[in-house]
Amino acid sequence: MLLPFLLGCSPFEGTWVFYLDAEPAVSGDCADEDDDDSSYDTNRGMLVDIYALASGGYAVVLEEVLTGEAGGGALHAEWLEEYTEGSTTRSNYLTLDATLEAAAMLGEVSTGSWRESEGGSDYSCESTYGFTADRITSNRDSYVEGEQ
Amino acid sequence: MTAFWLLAACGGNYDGSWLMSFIYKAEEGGGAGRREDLIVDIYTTASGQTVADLAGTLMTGTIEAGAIEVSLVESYAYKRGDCTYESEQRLTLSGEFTGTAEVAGDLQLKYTGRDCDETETDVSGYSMTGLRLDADPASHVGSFNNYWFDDYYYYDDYGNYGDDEDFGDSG
Repeated sequence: MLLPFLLGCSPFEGTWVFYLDAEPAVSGDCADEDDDDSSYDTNRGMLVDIYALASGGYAVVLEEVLTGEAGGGALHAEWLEEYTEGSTTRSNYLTLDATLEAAAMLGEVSTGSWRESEGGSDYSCESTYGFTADRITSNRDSYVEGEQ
Repeated sequence: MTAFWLLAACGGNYDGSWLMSFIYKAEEGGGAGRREDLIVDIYTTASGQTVADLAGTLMTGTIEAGAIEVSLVESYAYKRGDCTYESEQRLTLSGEFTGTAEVAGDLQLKYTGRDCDETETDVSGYSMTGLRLDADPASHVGSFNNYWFDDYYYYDDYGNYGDDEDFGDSG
């Protein structure tokens, strides 16, 4: 029963170990590029920091820094870069959608890119990874904070 | 502080930062005795798992009877003609307390592969000794040069083992 108090009003905040599905669901123009019979599996995890912002949103440090909002028990955060060269616009993005289930976090991470030329889309690709995450509960004072 | 670490050691609490020294154990060829030092952070999660961060390579496991064992497992499988190729590489860090703030154990890399009817197993590893670091960020300004384990120990998609970082990492 203490959990809601410990989590406060920023329940997603903290350091998490993310375990992404080893093989993503791929869609768009690249969907057929990896159609061999290979499979890959791993328990490889990654540390992800989620911070509550003073403005009420969240910042998620997951390779890039995603920003977003939580509502209705769900967190949505995204990162986007977009640049134009001549008449071609390119974009790369990363999104996270997550919910809490007991002490765990579940959701999806999508990474993708698209290209638009002469006003029309001519390429898009997206990879979506399901994930589970486990919250780090260790005391931060136990760690040196050297850059690694 | 000594009483704290004594309690921590008795309770099997590995949480914190460790300076771990790894000494390579080579059965064939050279390299025996080669030493690598790393700062390794060990965490506990809400589900009770133990996670070790070796320079960005996370290994997950448990602490049982005061001994830590965490691992990173990667497996591949694919078909090539009529043959099925399967491989698994397992990096395992194991150890136990040898003092109030000291641990010792092993870091083992085990490869198993099957290509059609041929199987192959290769085991290599390091002995490990670790000293708990005093976590007072106010007392230091430098950083420790860890390296990325995957640059040195990997198997490529065909099961070839290499230790040359020029080949890139396995991620």
